Amino acid sequence: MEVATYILFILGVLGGIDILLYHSVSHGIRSHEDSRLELITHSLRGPTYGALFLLVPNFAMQGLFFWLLIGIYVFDVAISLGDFILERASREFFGGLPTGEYVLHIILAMLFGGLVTSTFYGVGHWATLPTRLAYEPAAVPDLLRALLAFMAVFVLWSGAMDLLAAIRLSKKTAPPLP
Amino acid sequence: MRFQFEQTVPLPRSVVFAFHENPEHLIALHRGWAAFRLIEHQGNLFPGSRIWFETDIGRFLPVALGFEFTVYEPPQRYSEQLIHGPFRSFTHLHEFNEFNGSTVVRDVLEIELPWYYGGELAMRVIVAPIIQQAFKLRGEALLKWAQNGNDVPM
Repeated sequence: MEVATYILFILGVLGGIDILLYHSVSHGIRSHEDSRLELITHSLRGPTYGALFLLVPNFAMQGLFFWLLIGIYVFDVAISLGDFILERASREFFGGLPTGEYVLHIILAMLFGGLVTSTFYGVGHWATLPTRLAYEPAAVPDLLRALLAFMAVFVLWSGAMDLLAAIRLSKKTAPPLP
Repeated sequence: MRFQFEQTVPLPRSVVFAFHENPEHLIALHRGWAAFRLIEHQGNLFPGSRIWFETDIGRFLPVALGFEFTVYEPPQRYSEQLIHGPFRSFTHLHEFNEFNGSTVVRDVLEIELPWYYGGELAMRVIVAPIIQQAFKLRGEALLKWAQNGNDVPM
């Protein structure tokens, strides 16, 4: 999983830049009422990428666990599709997504394709092995695995913040009780 | 961080204030600054009214800002404060003082960035130069408007 780990690290860094620059500084979607649904999709990335940042660089996932990993990938594709559908309305007030965010999303999508491909090419044979989850770190520097563990915590925290913001904004815009 | 900018405009205060009362005129004031886009406004400066615009950092990062007007005392002053944006606080007081038939337009801004966006350091290195450049161009645009017979090219 060496290649997948490196790709995942780049994905994490660029995803963090997306959150910091575009979701927070640029459009401040955690305080933008039209972005409630987009925030819910983003919140789902917390546990999804939290799991990927811990599993991919550290564990051998064989048999059903391999298919669980593929399930996480499929779930993330669904999140991204939902995100693309919702973003148009979510950012309409601001005139749409910033150009840089569009470009970043395209790069992230290409890297995600690379992550899935490298998983199948690198460890596709895990699918046919007996079901087993074992701590077998990828041959990458320990520092990289430590950074990915830190990123797991960050993405979980960020997802939780997105969910709390979505709940807060929903309460703010809910029609008054009769 | 506090900023103060002054521009003397050779027109009566009532005329200069009336120009500022129309939020659309912000477009003319920032014409020389490519990084300004008016998103939405309510057509007046009354307390509670809101105005939204977008600026950018380094020509690549747009930043949407929403303000609510808090003070409206024509023709002396008005002010607005941030309701949406990456700053911890952002207030802008506009004062208009008569002086020998001209008007001294004074802009006083109090801006704070939260620590997680770099706080005071990022204010000095990134935000302050943008604010100074924006108000330099804004002052020039105001003077040009006054010298061109206060005709507003929108």
